[in-house]
Amino acid sequence: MERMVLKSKKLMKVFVIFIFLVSCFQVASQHHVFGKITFERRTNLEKRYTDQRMKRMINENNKIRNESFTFYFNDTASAFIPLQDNNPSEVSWMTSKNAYYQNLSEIKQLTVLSLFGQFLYIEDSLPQRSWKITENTRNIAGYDCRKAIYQKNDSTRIYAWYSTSLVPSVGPEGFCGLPGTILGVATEDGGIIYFAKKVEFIQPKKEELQANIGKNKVLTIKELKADIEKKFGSQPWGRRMFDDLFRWL
Amino acid sequence: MKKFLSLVIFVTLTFKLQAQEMRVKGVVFDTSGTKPLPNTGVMAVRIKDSVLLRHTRTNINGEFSLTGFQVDTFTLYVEHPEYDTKTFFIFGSKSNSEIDIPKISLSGKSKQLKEVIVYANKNPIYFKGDTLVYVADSFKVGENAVVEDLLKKLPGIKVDENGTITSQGKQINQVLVDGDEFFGTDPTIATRNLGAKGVESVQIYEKEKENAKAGEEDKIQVLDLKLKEDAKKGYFGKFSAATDFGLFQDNPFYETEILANKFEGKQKISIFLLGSNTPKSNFKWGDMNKFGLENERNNSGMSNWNQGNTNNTSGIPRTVKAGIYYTDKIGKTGKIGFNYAYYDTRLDVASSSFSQYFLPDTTFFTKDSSNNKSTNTSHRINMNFSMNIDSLTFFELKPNVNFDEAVADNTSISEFIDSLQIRSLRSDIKNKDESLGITSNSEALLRRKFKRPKRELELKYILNYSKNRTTGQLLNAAQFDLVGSPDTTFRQDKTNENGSTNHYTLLTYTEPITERIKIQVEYLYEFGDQLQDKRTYDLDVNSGLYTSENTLFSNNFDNIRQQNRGTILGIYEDRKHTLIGGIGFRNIDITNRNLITDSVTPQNISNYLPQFSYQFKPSISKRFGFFYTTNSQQPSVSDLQPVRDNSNPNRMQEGNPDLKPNYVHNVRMNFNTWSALTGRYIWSGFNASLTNNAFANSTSFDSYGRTISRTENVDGNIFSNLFAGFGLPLFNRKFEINPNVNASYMRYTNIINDQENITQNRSISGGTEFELKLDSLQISVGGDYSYTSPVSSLASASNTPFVTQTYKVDFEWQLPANFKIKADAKYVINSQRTAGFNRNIFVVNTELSRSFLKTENLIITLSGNDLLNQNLNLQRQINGNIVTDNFTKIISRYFLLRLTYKFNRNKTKEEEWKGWY
Repeated sequence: MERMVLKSKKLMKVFVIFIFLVSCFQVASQHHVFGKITFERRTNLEKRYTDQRMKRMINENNKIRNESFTFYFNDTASAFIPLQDNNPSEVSWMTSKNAYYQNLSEIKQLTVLSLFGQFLYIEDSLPQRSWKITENTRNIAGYDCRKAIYQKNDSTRIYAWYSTSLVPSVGPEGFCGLPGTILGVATEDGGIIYFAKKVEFIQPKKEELQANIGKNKVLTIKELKADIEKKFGSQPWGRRMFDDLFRWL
Repeated sequence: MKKFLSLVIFVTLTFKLQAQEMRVKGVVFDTSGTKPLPNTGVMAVRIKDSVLLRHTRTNINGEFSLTGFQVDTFTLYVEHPEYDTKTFFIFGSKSNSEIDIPKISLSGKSKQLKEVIVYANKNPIYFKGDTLVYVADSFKVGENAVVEDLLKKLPGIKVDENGTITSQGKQINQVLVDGDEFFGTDPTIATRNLGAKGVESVQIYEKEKENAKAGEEDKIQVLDLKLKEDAKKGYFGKFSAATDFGLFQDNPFYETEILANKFEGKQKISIFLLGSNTPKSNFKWGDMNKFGLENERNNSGMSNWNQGNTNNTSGIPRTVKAGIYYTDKIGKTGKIGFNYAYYDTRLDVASSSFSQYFLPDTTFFTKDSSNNKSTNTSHRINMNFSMNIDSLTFFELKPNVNFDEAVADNTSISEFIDSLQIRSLRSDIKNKDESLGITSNSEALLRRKFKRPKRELELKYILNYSKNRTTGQLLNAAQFDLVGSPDTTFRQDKTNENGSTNHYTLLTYTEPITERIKIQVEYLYEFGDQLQDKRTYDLDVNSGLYTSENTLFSNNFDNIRQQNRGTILGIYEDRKHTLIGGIGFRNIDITNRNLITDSVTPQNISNYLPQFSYQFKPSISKRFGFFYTTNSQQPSVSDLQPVRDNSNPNRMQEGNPDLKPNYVHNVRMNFNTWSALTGRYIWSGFNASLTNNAFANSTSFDSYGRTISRTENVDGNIFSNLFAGFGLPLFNRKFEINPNVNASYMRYTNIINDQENITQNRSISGGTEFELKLDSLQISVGGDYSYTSPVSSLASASNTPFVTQTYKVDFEWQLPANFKIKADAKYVINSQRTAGFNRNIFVVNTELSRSFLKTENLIITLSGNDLLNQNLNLQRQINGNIVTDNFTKIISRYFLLRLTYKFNRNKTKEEEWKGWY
């Protein structure tokens, strides 16, 4: 169990609730409710792809991909937007470039999936994930963050680091639901890592927090999955492609 | 004690009978206990599994209210960046579900606590230091189980369908065999190919990651398979034999194939054998990939996009191919490879053709029938060696040598018919040639990278060497039907010795100027020497031997060239655009020396070679490209050597030492788009080339229609082609329509009796394919129509358009009980050709197969090729003013009963190569 250190005998009474101080962090000294965060994502393609045929395209020189994202947030909304890739390579297509718009007051999330250059708009309620809180902390971009773990399934665990100094319960790549803004996300094997590189306290403009859907159709995840199951159900490569698309959803 | 502030809430423990919500409220103050703290984080974390139950923030008055979760035992954290976190353990119950903590004062800081992790020790699983050890024999696995099956039995280890392994919920990053990497980085090669019986123990430990970067966990989890001494090896393979048992003809048809791969440690050996007397002269594309037969694959003419069997369709073949590949690793980065292949291919071609020669003043016809038997034997040796000298320097050496032996025996009868349909000449020709040669195409490469990204220096050296000696005999009997011409017969012996050596040295340097702009400089030096000594001997009346040299058909010739070429390119690259522009300048100095007369034809040519390309990729599935390149090709030594070749005395060839290299402008454009979700796609493009100083035939006809040709330079040859197609999937991708169109225009010049003849070919074709793809049934139906209109400026009589229509059906049905039926049919309609060549061809092939054994590794197939016995090789060629309809006898109907057996060391189902996505 979480390390309980009992320092006082008088607290050992049965049927009692104890309080004590466990730990503390050194933190920036203010609470913030809005800002702009630059995230960097580092993907190790070698870890990311287990398929041997994909691995043949991956070599020592291109296996690590670094990509950047901008994250705008205020107390009710956030937007996570991929930045232009200025360092394209023949394996650029192997990483996802999805955008997310979280709305805390309506408890909704709009996801813009980029599927080989085509955009799919998905609106659903904010994801409800079961987080495990740990006592591990690390400093990301000047903010002390607590590590939480999300057990996606039997074999996938995702780490997220959040800071209570940033009040809104939002985060990158559609992650949210922790008692503070998420500044770091990583798969357990370190194959994909998102870290905040820069945190600026700029009030985001209204249009920066809203997706331009245009006349495109907006689906729910369920509808999209059903659509894909219909179209690609019998094709193993199609299923693989979309499994990957939903890796975070 | 001061550090701790405690607050006690009394709780009654009762067993929960029904779910009830917790309600926790409170007010948070600073250390003084007077100033409320807004925005303080409050969260409830369940004690038994650390799951976050609920969280909230205090309002402006420091108040919070946490609700919406079931009664539980949990920790309440109250966190503020400027203060210490305060923790409450709360034992909630039905009667104690509403908790009010009226005053929470936060205070100073305390130290962090350390973790202690305890492991359990059990047999046959135990810890040795930090290493978790499983003793393999303690876990029961099936007789032919592979390592993966064993891992699935080990407690705490999970293997998913992709072969990804997790131990105690943590992914295994690397699978080692006795502490070393197995074949490459893919763990499944080890876990699916090594037998479980060979494993002594499975060890799991953490290892320092080599060159870990900041922000990354610097330890990786490793699964190390410790093998028993006799187990570090495996094999897999395939054997197939087919025959018709001679039921339908005296010579039975057969096809045999053996492919096997054996690995031991890092060493890999593949062997292959193919023997057939059917059109099957290659392995399947997938098998060549699976068994690593790189050279066979590269020589097969197949590609990723065209994996169809490029069968031999030009006669009656007999093929034997056999060889061995060996690869191993030396040191950390060194790779060494050796392969040897033996080819013995025979081909008997019996063909007949009817040609029409359109001249301005008259028309000739020839009827030819020929019988050509050829045997080619070759030994091919390839080696390669590569290594990273250091982290920035790569070195590669690829020597190759081929020994070839060829025997050709050709008999032909040609009849020359004049415009009045009267035969004027019949000629019987026999050629017999034997040749022996050696060729080598070897390469060395040194590549150096620098600390600065994208800066690169590459040095490449290529040696092309060949030496060949051919001896031959020519017999010609000419029978003149016109009065006054006596019949003639002669025999000649011939020798041809040629040798060529070409050295290419290419130095390329790339320098990044900015993030997006690079400059590339390239320098090429080429030195080449081509020697060809051709001799023809007539009968020496004195000795009775063929030793009297015929100077008309004998010559010794040397072509020496030296090329210097410098190229500079500017490259701009960003996310959507790639722009490359540059220019090369080259000088080529050629000396053509006639060693018999010792006369020299020098040439010194300088050219600019500009190039430009632009690619636009607005998204990953949409791209447009425009490419302009220029290049120049050298004529072959046979085109240059000033001597007549009378191996066909009716159609003699003569070299031209004044021939200049050609100069080609190429333009290429393409546009492709694909939508991943709907599966719709469009592909389209345009190619065009303009060739100046092109190599053209200049042909002179004599009064019978016999010809002498030499190669001349002509300007303005054009080839262009426009194509487009799209794919439209319907009914949830179960059905797809693929229409396509193609239009081409060709214009080229040849010279007939010293007059220029310009031929323009226009052709247009289009087709559609319909595909139905169900789980066990796949059908495709398609049709193509093509129309060709040739126009020749000198002789309008040859300007007859012709049409070809093709219809195809493909069918594959997976039946119950491991049966499978495959069938395909093709119907070709030829029209508007010479009488007798307008044959319609309908070819139907079928195959019924069933797999046996639990592993389905034994397959028996009955196949019937060309059930209607209609297959013909029929071609129309238009070459300047000559229209030739050609017919070659090929193998038509045959049946085969085939037995295929696939095997591996672990006696599991041996999967076929699945191809790329």
